[in-house]
Amino acid sequence: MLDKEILVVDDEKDLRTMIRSIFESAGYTQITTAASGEEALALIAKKTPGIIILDVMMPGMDGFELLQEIRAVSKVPALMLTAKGEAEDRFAGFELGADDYLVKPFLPKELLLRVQAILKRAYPEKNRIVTLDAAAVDLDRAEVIKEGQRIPLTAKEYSIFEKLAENAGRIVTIGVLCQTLCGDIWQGYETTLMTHIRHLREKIEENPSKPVSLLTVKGLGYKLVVKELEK
Amino acid sequence: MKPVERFFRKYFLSMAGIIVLFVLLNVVLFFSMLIWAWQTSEEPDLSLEKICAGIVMDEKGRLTAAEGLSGLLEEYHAWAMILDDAGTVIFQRGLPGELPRRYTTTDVAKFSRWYLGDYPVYVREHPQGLLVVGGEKGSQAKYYFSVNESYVRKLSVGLSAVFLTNIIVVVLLVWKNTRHIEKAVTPILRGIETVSLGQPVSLPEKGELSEINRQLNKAGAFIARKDTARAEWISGVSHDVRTPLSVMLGFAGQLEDDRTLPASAREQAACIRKQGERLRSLISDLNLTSRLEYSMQPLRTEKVYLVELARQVVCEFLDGGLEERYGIAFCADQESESLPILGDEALLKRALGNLIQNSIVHNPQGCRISVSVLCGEAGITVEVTDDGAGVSAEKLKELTADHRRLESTDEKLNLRHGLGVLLVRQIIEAHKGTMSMESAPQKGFRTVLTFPV
Repeated sequence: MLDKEILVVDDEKDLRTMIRSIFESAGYTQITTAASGEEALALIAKKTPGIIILDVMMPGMDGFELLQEIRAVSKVPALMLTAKGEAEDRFAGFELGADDYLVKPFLPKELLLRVQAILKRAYPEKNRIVTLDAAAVDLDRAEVIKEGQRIPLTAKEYSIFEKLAENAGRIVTIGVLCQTLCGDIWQGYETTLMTHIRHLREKIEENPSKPVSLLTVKGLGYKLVVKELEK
Repeated sequence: MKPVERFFRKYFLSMAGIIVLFVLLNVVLFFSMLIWAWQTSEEPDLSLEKICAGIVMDEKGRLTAAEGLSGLLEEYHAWAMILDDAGTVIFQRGLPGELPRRYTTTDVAKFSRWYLGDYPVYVREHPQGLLVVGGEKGSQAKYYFSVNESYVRKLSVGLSAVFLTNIIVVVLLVWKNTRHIEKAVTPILRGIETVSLGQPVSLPEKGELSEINRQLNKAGAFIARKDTARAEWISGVSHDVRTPLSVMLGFAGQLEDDRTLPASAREQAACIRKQGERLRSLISDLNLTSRLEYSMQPLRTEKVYLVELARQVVCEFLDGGLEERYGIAFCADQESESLPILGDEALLKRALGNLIQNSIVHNPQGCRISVSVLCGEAGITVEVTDDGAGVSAEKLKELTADHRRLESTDEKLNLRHGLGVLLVRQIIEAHKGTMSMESAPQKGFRTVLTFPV
């Protein structure tokens, strides 16, 4: 992931420098910057980057126009930076094909989290194995590896686990999990969810009644504790 | 609009009062004038009684004038005579020569009512006949008056009817006039009230007072334009501040995490980062508040499940590195779980986030926060409670008072209380909900939001 090329497009020199330094200190090695839409298009024409971070408000060609131009030739993931208040306007970039957006001003870790999430989605790793306290889960094969044994996950269990693993270390609310399970009309499926969670725990926990990996956050949701993250 | 109605009712009553007063005054004036005229007019000349007494029989059985009669008559340029039963003058003093010395019954009947010659005359019974006293020509007005009893009765009834009709007509006219003015003025007063509330005003520009309506419309449009300009200005400034603040927050955040730096430098960087974040929330609160205030922020309503919404907000706090000394507990009942309201998800999240943030900011020593979403009779209630320092009664009063939003600044342009609370109130009101706050020093703070279902 760290070797993916990140292209930062912003007319503000200090902001470019700041973003570059965020990624450099996080270990990313290939960061290029462009001060305008035209410059960015020229760079993309030469070599498609791994992800583009672009500002919406730029003199000349603005972020939306630039994204349209990019989408005409490439599907490269894009994160847009906007100076509009979060609740102010519904973000218009999604229709143009933006993967996510971030409202200025932002903290370094907020930017890193979003970019990492986009990269994970855009470039899924092979051999995705999530290591837990008592077991490991092979996401590619939908199997739990516990004490040398391979236990298959059902489709529902898999979708729940995948959602939790995507957000490892963070609470995933009951609503979000139910939605993964049953789609948009999810109200009333809380007990179904609890049943699936119980089955999951039986497969991944050493002692399902005292879980250490798949934790309940009372009233709110569930949280997956992954070993790699603890390092 | 009560004050206007009251005003016109008062106006009408005062007009009616003026009419009554006017009538009373006239009655009083009329009678006092009569009394005055009666008291100040000259004595009704010579007294018939005196004259009658001044004509006496002497020892020889002849009528003679007593002492002083001639003087009395001369003083008034009058004359006197006594007629016997046959109409013959048996006594006279100063009787003008042109007047006859004998009178028929017809003559007597005539002059006793009217004039004798041109002399005004008065008659009185005398022991010896009829005393006739004549005054100077043109000195007295003499009328004879005699009317039918029923005529008098009818006349008095008629006069009262005329009087009453007059009063009724005048009162009706005043009432009609008042209504007319009220009709013309009420929309204007309403318009002024609307303008004073800062709402858009649009009055029909016709009728006699159309000019005033037009000017009021202009004033309303002018205020609206200024409000919009202000909101746009705030919005513009907040946009422009975001990029520089990004750079500051970005570098401060990196310095804070840079393990090669000495601890003190990292602490300073953390301080810059925290203050930067405060500035960030202040800017967005200010911007959103002004947009809501001037209706530039349309609600994007959709079905919102408050329980799940609250869960997400609480999780953001828990995942966002909430410090150890704070704790957030969450509870919800089964009923409200699947009960949606119509609302703007982003704004509602913002409101709830602001309340939790307030508990954190105002309790630097740490506190337990609890968030609950429950279904009650009035709708769904969202409650945010903390067990922290709380606020004094005065401060609570200030917070709960319904200030005119952005006007709630003191002379130094300090917002009297946090923009955060202001924004929450605006958001809740936009959702037709209610907000109540309870607190006491060292007893924590409790905010209850109620949304109609």
